[in-house]
Amino acid sequence: MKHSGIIAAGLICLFGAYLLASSFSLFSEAGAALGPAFMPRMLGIILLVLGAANLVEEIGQERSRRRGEAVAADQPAAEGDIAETSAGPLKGREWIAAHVDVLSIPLLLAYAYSMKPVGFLLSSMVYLFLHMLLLTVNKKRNYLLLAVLAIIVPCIIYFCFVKLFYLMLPVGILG
Amino acid sequence: MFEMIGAGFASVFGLQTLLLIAAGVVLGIVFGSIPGLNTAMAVALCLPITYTLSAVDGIAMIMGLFIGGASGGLISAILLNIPGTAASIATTFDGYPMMRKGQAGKALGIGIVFSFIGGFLSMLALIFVAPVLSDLAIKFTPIEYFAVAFFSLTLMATLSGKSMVKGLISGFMGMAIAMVGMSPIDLTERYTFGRIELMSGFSMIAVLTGAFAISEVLKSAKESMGSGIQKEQISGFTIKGFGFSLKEFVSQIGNCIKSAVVGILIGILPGIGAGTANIVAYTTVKNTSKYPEKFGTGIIDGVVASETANNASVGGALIPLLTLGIPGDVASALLIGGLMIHGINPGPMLFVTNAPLVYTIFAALFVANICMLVLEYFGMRLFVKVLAVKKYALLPIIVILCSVGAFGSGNRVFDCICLMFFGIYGYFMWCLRYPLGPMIIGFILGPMAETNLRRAIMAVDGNVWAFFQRPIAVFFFLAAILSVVVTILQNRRGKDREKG
Repeated sequence: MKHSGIIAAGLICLFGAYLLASSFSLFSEAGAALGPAFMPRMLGIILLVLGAANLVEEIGQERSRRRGEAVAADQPAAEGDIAETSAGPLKGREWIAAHVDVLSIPLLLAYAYSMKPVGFLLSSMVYLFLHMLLLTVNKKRNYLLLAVLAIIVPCIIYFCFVKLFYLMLPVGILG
Repeated sequence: MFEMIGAGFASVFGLQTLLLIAAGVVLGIVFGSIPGLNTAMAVALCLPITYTLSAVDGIAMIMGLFIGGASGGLISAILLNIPGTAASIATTFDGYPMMRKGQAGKALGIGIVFSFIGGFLSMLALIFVAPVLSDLAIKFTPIEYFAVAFFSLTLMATLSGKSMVKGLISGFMGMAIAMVGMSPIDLTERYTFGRIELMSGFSMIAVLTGAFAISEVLKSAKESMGSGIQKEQISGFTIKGFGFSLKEFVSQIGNCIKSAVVGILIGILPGIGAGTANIVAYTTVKNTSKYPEKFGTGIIDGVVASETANNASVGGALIPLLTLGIPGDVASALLIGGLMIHGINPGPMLFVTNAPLVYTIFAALFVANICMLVLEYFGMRLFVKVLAVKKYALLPIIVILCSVGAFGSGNRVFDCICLMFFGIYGYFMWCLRYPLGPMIIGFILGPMAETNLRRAIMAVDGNVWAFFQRPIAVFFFLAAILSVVVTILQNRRGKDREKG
């Protein structure tokens, strides 16, 4: 992504400022020499300074990059940008394959959030199936195999942990 | 001490314990050899299993994972030029050229034998150094503990890699993440936003597994879109005995000792483990060699250096863990989680309250090392087959198992949610080229530094000068200054070299 380094540095500055500001609302009646606000305040200041330093660094790099681009338009692409540099915009499956990392994120979150209401077993099956579909988007799929795996693997894990290792896993609606 | 060691071995030599160690070693080798999977992941996956085992069995299994994970990477490093984990990056430098010369069997044999020797030497160091250190550490007051934590925090700068600013940001972010929850001493709520789940702070297992396992899954997901490792790519090899002569072995002894010392010392430093040790050992051996120009062309010296050092760092990492409660690397940080579940607090008191357990750890390490030698040698051909495993199924299954681990540590789904968020955080940090190593140091040592600093200041009534009247504390403060100065000088030299 363009400017991602600069945005990240800016966010770090903001986070440092937040820590610094919020530290003033922390106090304790214990009256120790260094209160609970000491660490957040120190970290806030440090992150603010480091974030600013990084911001300057990133802006400098961006400038020299732009200058470099002007000099040599046919420079080899940076790591990770391979998909974007190939001719024309990507379509359908290719686009999904190129963004599989970002597309995995909602799946991970949905899995974690669904575990409590739906239960470990069901949410794991659905998650496993969907994530396998996503990861095989540019390959030939054997749907039957994927479905069997998606059902059997969570069952094995569930019974191993619950029956053999006596670990409680969320049962959700099945419970 | 020798009776204690004997007792340690006696407790490991049960059938169940031995089988668990062997299982740990095999799983460690598998995770070590498949690129994109690492030892920390293997430990995270096995933690929920260890919750229900006895402390001895659980720890024995994790020792197996450590040893297997540190040496498993050599298989893909030599045969495919792809390091299975960061621990065997330097193995590719000479191991792969050796394979190209038709000496794959020899390279593998050397790698396995010297992994064993490295692990063995580091175990000796652990047995002899750890009790002495813990005797010393037992006299530590909060002032010394603060000094140790302060020194260790300066390693964030050393670990930063190219951009020191980014490394430090990552480290201080780790400290900030650790601040959530109750503040030490006065138990003031900090950054809990009124949520009960946050009162006890983020679970260490969720943060570390997230940042080091889930983020790896996201990384590998993108890589798995390529064709992956095909069965045809993996060439055959022949090996007779261990593939090298006695004369070659003798010629490598000096080299091996040098690498083991480097590995152990790097293992001791908090936050850095096998991943750094193998590269530093390779460079050290190359720079002190009589024929540095031959390195990289496929000579055994390179493989010996890398593989001795990465296994040596395992024992090294356990030294600060057992004596001070400071983990030497990510995998041993997860071990702390495993120990605490069993009500064991690592630190100098461990040698007083749980001495038999400590010696069991030594014995387990020894047995695991032998298991590794035998299993990796005879199972080499099988482990090679594992490399062609389908990532599309493996990655989501790892996510599920990590979730089980995070859930099991506290019986809360909240920890699974944190796991995912820290995974995403770790992934974006990686994308933006912020190193993750400093983050673990900050996350683990931040609270230790804060607690002990505040305790110490209370103990000396705010008189900071008292800090400099204690020799051990002064030693660590000086070491901290030295570490910062050396890092800055090295960075400057590196930049000059880039310009020149």
